[in-house]
Amino acid sequence: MLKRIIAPLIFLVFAWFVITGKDAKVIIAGIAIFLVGMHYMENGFKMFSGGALESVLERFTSTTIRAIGTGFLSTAIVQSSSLVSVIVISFLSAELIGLRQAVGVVFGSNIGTTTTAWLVSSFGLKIKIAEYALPMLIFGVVLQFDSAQGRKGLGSVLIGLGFIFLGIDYMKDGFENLKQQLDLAEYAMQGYAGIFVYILFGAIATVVIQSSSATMAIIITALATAQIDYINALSLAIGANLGTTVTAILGAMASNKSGKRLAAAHFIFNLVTALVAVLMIYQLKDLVDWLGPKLGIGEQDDAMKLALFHTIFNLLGVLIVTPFIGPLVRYLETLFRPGKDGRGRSKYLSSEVVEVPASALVALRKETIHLYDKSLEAIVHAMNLHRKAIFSKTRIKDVVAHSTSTIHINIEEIYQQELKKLYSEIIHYASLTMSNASVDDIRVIHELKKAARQIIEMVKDVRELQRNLNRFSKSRNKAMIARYNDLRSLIIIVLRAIQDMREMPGEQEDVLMQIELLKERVLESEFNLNQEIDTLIRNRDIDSIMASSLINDVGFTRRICNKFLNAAVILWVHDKELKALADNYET
Amino acid sequence: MKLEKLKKALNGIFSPEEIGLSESQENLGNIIARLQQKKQSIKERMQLAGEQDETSSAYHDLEKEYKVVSKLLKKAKKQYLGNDSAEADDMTRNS
Repeated sequence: MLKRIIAPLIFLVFAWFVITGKDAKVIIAGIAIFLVGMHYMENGFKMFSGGALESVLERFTSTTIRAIGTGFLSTAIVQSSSLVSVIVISFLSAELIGLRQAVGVVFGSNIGTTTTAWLVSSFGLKIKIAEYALPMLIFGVVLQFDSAQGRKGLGSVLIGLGFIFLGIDYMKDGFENLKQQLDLAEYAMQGYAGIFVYILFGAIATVVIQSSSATMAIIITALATAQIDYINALSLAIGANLGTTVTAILGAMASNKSGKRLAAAHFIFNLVTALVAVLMIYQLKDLVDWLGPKLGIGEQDDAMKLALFHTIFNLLGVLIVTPFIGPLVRYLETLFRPGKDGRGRSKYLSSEVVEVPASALVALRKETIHLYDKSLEAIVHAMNLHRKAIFSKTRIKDVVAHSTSTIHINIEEIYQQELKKLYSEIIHYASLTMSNASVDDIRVIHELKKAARQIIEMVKDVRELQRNLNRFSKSRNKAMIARYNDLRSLIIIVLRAIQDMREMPGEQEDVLMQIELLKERVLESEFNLNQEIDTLIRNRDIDSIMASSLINDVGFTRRICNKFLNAAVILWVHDKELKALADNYET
Repeated sequence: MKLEKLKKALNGIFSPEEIGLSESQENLGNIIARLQQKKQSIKERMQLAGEQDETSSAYHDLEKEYKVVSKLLKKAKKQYLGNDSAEADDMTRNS
């Protein structure tokens, strides 16, 4: 109903309003140009920074204060709280940062977003910025033709800035012309009724435009041209802050648990901030009047005073909410928990993670390790072994001797229900990540896909091995039992060594040497076991059917061990030049 | 020094491929140096173990380690110098 009738109707009314209203057209065009500028600038920073923004957000968020500071600075520089929050949600999903740090960045980002008001009220209104906009657009477009990502990104940032400046100029002209026909200031409302009405206007405008920065630009230009009353402008600014929360909540509805939790934190923060700002609006106004002249802001410069008010009330919100960040985070962690049936579900991958290449790579690696651990569990159970015993200090000989009872697991079912699903998700997200990855990142993604494939192939191999192991371990043929125990021992040797490397990673060269030594050992064991099988056949200890099964299973075991080791090189040797030296690295 | 850093950072933005290539070569050089050190240390330990008993398992283990480190070193040199140069380098050493 809404989509079919009401939405087109609203669009038609809007179109009529734009076409017939001469000055409104200029203002709306200004808003549209401003939004295009924001879009270009956001995309440009994504390309231009080449992962620098991600790197800053990952490194400098160790404490809450640092997280707030980083959130403030990064938003102030890139002029986009939505870009910062996309990165933060992505990092949070990949567990690159914790919820506490993420909430800190969001708080800081709220202060950072107030710098737009400063830019508009200072540069935007005091100098003829349209004159700077045109050269920016020209150079920006020229740089767009460059093939290098960095220069292309710089071009987009320039185009973005050019459009933002041009948009402000259009809005300013539109409001000035409108004033000659219609004085909006006549509709000013005093008292708390006016405050609430204008807060509502501010919030609705932000929800419609989907950008609090654009709303602030409109408020400031309208205020500078005396189209709105100062106290009403303050209320509109509070409304813009609330409106941006609605936008965040709407966006988070389709998001993962990290996105939802962060949107909830944002909502709580903005609600508290708005409440405080409403309750103390007159005191805050007085504070601005007192502080303004000390900062060089003229008494009549309402636009700059509004920017100061915007910063002060957001800063106040941070000061009030930050001491409660611990309980807030604990509460948020109880929200949006996944259901119990998590079989075959990825732990780290989601559409939010894929948006930021840096965290997408980390999440892909973590998910591949998750697949490795899940497959390892299935493989050792199929071999009638327990992980606790394998990774204990008990001698391998004793572990094998004591693990005689059959563990009844349906490896085919585990493969189909869990591991294959997980593998499919890794492949799916790997392909999505590749679309905006650098050449180096694409190489890493290929590697991780290869590791995941090797892991999944091991599970397929163990299906054959399990059948014979269970069959012959119950036979009375001691020679067969002993040989299958040898195969189990070899797998334990490899798994223990890999686990040691994971837990105590030494020098990267040592890790690679260990892996290569193990590969030699596996090859040697295969050779020795095949020789033993020949002796057993000659001595008639085993018949030809037993021999053929055993020969096949020796091959399966060698393949499983090698795949474990190949996956280990990809997952735990981090130096890309070093890992390329490993055997079978290219296969 | 600061100017050099700034130049490098700007090169990273404008010519990332070149930076990546030179860093990769530098890293390979470091890997070769560390592998050579390891090879030398294993060789010394092998000599000591060999003086005591050349049939001991400790000697054989070191022998395997020596083989592995030599293989890795050879591959690293091939990558560092390019295949032809590495073969020429090997031939020079062998002669």
